[in-house]
Amino acid sequence: MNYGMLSDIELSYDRKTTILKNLNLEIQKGELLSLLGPSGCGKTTTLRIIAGLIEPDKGRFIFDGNDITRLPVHKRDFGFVFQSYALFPHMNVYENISFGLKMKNFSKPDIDKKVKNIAEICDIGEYLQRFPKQLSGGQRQRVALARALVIEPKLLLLDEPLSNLDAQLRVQMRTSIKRIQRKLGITTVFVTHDQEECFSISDRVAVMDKGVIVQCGTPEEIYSRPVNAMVARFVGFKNFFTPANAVKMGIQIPAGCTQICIRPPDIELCTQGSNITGTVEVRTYLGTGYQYEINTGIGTLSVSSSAEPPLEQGSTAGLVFKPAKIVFLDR
Amino acid sequence: MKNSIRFGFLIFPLTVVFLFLFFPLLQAIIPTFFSKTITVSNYTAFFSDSLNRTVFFRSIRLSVLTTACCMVMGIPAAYYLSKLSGRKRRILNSLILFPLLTNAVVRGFAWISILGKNGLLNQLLLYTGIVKIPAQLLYTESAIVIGSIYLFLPVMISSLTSVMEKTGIDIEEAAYTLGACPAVVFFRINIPLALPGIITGSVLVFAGTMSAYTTPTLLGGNKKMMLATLLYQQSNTLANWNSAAVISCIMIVISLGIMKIFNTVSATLDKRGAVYV
Amino acid sequence: MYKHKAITLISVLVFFFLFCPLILIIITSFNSADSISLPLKGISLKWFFQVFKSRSLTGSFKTSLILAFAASVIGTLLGLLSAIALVKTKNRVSVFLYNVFLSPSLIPGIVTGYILFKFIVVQLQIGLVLALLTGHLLIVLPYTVRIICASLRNTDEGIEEAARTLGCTPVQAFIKVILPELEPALLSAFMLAFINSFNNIPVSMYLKGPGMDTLPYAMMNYIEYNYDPTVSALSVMLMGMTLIFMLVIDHAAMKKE
Repeated sequence: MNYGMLSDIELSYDRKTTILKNLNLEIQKGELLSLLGPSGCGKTTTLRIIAGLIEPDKGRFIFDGNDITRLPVHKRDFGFVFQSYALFPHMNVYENISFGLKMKNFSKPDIDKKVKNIAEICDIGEYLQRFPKQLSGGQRQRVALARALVIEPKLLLLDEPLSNLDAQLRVQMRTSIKRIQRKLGITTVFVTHDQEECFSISDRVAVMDKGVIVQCGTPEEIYSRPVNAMVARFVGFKNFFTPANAVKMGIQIPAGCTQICIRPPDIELCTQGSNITGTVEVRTYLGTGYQYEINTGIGTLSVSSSAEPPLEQGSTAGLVFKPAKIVFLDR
Repeated sequence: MKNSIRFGFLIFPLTVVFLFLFFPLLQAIIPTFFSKTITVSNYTAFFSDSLNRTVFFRSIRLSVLTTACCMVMGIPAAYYLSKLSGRKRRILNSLILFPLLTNAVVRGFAWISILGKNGLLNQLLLYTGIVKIPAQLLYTESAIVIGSIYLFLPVMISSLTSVMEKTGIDIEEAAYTLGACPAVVFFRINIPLALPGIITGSVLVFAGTMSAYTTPTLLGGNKKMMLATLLYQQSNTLANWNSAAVISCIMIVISLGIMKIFNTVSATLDKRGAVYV
Repeated sequence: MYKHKAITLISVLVFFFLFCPLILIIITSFNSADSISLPLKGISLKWFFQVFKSRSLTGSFKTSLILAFAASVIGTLLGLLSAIALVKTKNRVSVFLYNVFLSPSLIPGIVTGYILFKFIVVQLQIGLVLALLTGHLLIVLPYTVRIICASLRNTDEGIEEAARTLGCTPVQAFIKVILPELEPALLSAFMLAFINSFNNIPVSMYLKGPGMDTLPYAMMNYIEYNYDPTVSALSVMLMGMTLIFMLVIDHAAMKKE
């Protein structure tokens, strides 16, 4: 069900550089939608337009039946978690979280109840009297989240909230965010450049590149059926080759296909019935197996395999492509 | 470089400071506490004179007034300045610092030419018929306050902008997303976070106004004296060394006292982590 | 993002308040009429020439210039030497001494003037020239010491050590490697010292004598007996001088980047 809709959004900087063009995005109620893309693709800008921190030059944002394109930020009732957390340094954790509730004129006992409740959900109940200066990165992140959630916003917006945390904490936190989002049922838009993080928690993903939404769908769709080479590369496809080379290897190609790609784990080592052969140039140990860079007649292919025994550098290898895993791109 | 040679470098400047400042200072001030025995009689005598009392309280009163006005005028101006970017800000910044580098006489003279009986303001008032005879604007306490504000406003604005610049824009944006309207953001977020700058600025303005000589002399004359004017009169015109020494001590105590208060307040603020995350 | 209308309005008024008086002085200095008034009767440069006709004003200008220059040169040099002594060692004593050098700025100018007058002129009966120089040195030292110490603290010690390993004696290393890094700070210190010495009133006022006036004091005297645009014209010229100073400092700061 259509809860929010960005239509034909356009934004340029200084009337010269276009940041967003013909941007259309649907937000469904209760979902966790991610904006994924490399830095500079416009995902944060899109989020800020949704929040009202930036006004688009053209286009509309309809939310819950109302055109709120020109509605000021403080009237939108959307929670926003900043990449830098943006906690108020002169207020302690309790005051930070209760700020939004004070703005809504809740009574003191009500505020107290809500703050303590959200603090428990976000696991920061012990730190209510501390100041941001005294908290660790992970704690600050949870406070920022609590502060945005406690106002029971219609939409929760997160701008790369995990990128300042170390790897282990990042994995922990993303699960917490998903858990809380599910529990409270809040519609969420999440911006990130980390593909793994994005896919693990999102219901739907919008991949962006150079100010345009390139593909929008579930993580499964995007992972196995990328719509163009950019998306394919972004989600981990490595071995790109032309239709001509595909034919050489005995692969049948559909009409309109311009490029073919396949993931390293989907190329198997074999001794007979191979599509192509080559020599092992470099071998890297992955822990779960090895990654081989193999020089072939159509270029260097990346193959990862856990087959024992591992191939030696300089040896010849036969490669077969798993037919179901070959992706044909028409762009 | 050997440490001994290095410390040798300090001998000359240190001698100058100790010999020509600290020593004479103590030599002038210590006797004020003696009158056959250790006593504060010199100070009680000083304050028993009504003129001295008037001057003393006037100095405090006008310094407080000037500081308050500089705060009210300086905070919006500094906020506006901190939001500008690039060329506009650099130019405006330099323009604000420019008066600081001009002579106090030039600045005082500017206000004499505006506030005097034949001054520009009176010319305007007479011309438009708002008054029939020239208004007495010069040699009043208001003139001193206006002149002092003019002298120290750039100092307040500088202290404030350097702190306000450091408040990240994302903190303001966070407040907006939580439902705060622009006025609330200004008073609940920007101003509390600018507190260190407000305090620094206030200390400089207060201390400066208390010890200023040129401005009160030019704009207040002998009718409305401040401590510095009184000191000069006692020491030069009246050759009243004792009184001059007493006033000197009072001025130094106030100056150092303000510094101490400032340091204590800053330290408390720091502990609260009230400033930067 | 949001433009607070009230704040912009107040700010504009504040800036107007700051610039108006100086602009009024500039305008009225060109008046051909005999008084400081508006609107201008006609445009004339006669008041500027009047400044040069006044011996007290031109004489005191020379005095101020020479005094400021001397105090600034000595002050910068002493500031450099003190900075070298203080920055390398980091102990309680050097912190204390650093504060000692900054302390003259804590004492109200008028008090400093009075104390110097009483001690140097009256008690020691040392000549005025030396007294003025000492007084201005005390005014200038806090600025030079603070600026040069800050700059020295920010320079990387490593470059001096690198020069030593390449064969320089300590003195050579300092002159060839560290000193160039300090150039902008030395220039700033000199400029700031000069302006503060030139503009100083309380100290110069006490230590004045026949033929030994500083410009600010001469101006104050002149205003007492003459109320005409001569002082306006002089003010305009001084403002021009200040402007040039600011441009020089700015240029030096940009060169460093």
